[in-house]
Amino acid sequence: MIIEPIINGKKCRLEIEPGDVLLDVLRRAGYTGVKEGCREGECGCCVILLEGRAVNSCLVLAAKTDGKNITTIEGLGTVKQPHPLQKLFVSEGAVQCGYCTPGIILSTKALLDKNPSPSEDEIWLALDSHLCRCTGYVKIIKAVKKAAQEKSKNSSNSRSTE
Amino acid sequence: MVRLKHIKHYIRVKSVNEALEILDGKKENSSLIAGGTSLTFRKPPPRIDTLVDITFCGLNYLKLQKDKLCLGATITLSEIAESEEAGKLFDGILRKAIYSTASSSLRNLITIGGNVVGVFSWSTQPLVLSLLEARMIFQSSSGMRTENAVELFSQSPGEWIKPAEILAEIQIPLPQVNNSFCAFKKFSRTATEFAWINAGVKLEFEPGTNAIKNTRLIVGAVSPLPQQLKKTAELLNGNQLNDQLIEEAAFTASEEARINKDLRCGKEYKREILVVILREMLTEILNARMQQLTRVSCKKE
Repeated sequence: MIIEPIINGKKCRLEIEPGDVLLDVLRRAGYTGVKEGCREGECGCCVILLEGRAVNSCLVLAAKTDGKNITTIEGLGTVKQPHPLQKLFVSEGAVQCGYCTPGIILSTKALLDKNPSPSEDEIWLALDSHLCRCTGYVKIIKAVKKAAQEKSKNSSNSRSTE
Repeated sequence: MVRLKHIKHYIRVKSVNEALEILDGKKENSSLIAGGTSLTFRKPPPRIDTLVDITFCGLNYLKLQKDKLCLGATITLSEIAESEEAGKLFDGILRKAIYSTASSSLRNLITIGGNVVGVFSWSTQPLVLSLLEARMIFQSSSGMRTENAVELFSQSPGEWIKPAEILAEIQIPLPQVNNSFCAFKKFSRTATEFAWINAGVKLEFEPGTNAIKNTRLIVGAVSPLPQQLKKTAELLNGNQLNDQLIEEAAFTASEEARINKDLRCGKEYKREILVVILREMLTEILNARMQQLTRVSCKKE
């Protein structure tokens, strides 16, 4: 069957089997920033944004995503032009091996798009899908808090220039 | 989840009637799918070659009516939890129970209907729906069927939903008077783990007093189906809620509950946990009731 999801703003045409899992379809289509981990929805490294909400792509049948908006880490930024979240995670030391990072950054994006000033509890809740063996989470949380502060600063700056 | 090789057809239906026509025609070979997260635990048997996706047939709604809250079967747990209604109604236990379920990214996929008909022993939704005396509305090509959640979830899971039937809506009646209080607790080692034990209690008080008129107490995750603890409820009914009664009720409940084996911990440990969480829930309700009575008497003055 053919599905036509909109991946990172671009309409794609993908040939799949009805029982194909979204994680595998995305990786086959070249979006290898979507990582394979547990395949059971426990580790969070396969998280992508589906219609702006963080979901475990290992538990989504690809057929469900026909016509839907999907955002992978590739859609956020590139090596030459990283997204502010990606820059912050690096500068704050929130990345070690980096395997869990794409999923965490996407969950962070979903959180801040909805709630630009989250409390620490709200940040922990939004990232509860993700396991990180390397960092101990402290610097990840710090990076998200800083991202929220900078986003808030940028929006008040743009309001004052208006 | 790995690729489901035996699935040959994926049909996205636009209405419940369309889904029912397919189920009627291909009963043995087709299965409904909404969020689809349970496919990782329960792969469809080899005879299932068709998945019927019902997430786009208009069942993802939440409607507050004068006397009830109506939930379409394919609304996700996240959407329910984020609603104003989930926070304000029923002392917030609907939101609390949902936030105790899985993780945020899974709650964005799990639908309330799927969580109920999946019959998972660790599910919180059947427990909470029983506590709130919800009604389950099933639809088939021969018409609608309404079942009370308490009665439904006490039957064998194989009898909850009939062949070629869809769970269409869940209706939760709104409390008519302000003398009811609810509490819910889940115990597990980590926030996103399957419950080791969960429990909910709903107390209705006599107007203006601390005397309990009616109790509903339900324990989950310790057996395949949520259990009503009727003996403990009888102990509470007709009495003033105080610390002594709470202690007695907590211990009675721990003896009354039938607890199955669990790889993670022994039965006796679960009984001890039940004592603690029931004590905490009843104390929470006692404090809330005392505050309410104090506010009422201050207003009168």
